[in-house]
Amino acid sequence: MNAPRYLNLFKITLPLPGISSILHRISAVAIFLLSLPMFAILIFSLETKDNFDFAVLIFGNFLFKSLFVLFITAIFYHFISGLRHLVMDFGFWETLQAGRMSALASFILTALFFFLFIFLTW
Amino acid sequence: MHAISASEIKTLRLSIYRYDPLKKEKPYMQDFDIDIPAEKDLMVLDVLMLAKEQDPSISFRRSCREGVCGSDGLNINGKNGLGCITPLSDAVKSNKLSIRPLPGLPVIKDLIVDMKQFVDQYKKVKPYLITDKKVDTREAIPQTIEEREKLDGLYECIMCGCCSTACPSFWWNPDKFLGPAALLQAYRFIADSRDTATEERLEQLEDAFSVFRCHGIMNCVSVCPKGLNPTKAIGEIKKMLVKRAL
Repeated sequence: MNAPRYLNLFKITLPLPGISSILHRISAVAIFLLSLPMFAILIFSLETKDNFDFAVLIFGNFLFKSLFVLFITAIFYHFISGLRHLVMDFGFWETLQAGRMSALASFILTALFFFLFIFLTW
Repeated sequence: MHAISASEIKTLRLSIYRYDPLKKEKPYMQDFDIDIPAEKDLMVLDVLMLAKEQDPSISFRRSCREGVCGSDGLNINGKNGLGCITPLSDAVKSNKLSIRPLPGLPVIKDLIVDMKQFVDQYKKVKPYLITDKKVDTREAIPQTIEEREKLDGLYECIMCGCCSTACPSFWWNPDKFLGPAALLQAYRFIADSRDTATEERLEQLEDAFSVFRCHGIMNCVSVCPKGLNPTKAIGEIKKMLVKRAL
């Protein structure tokens, strides 16, 4: 059957818990992709003092520093959002209102963490 | 009778998803200008009927026009709902109304979708009471008030399909993930004190897809025109499956 299916994701509205779930997945992809270069640099930096100095130099680069902030923020959001899902698995926050509030709380906490992390490390 | 003056009329820009399998055309959106009395808060279904007066070829399902039959499930300005009980004041933003078919299901014509995948999943959960052969089903099977109260929020489902077709897990796996509507019904019979097939029902739901593809995004709760909470019912099933496995 070649009937079309309407599925325009840009036109279909999702509630906050839905947006939270999509961001949870996007953060997982970001963690997966960025963890390889981050761990590679960590291992490289621990080999010699020169390597460590070079790694510090890399972290001075605006683009790399931004990627690092993104990486840490993604980890934080993934963790917070994962905790939210765990709480729901135990039977709490299962009403739409509670789902919206907990999703909103995860966004606010991540935003606070993001700015705090920039403030402390930049 | 009071004649409506031009100042009491507002014009709504209505955009409807059109698809005709007999024409070799891709689906497209067709615009209509619908005059609506300014003081009236019409339902979306009323507006569709007014559009049908302009173009009788527009196809959509409707029957009871009071949110009981579940025929006119539609995607209204991006959110699934029943046309007959969704007032324009709730649905319309900036005087524009876009109506599309329920997402994810094959479109038969315009706003009419093929509900087969949805009904097939419903059948899988055996949506009927299963009792021991010892029980004489010709007699009433008594329930306490507390046992009966457990079914509140479960039995009211009208199978309109708004929830399942709003669920991304159902979009990606309509043949494996049962979807919120079928799972709400599954729990309705699992929770029924008169039903004796709980073990068989849970065994059937134990795989990785049937229930566990639900990630709690709650779009089903957000769109349900009867105000039901399939996410909670699915959560209860998940808990029972986990307890059973331990």
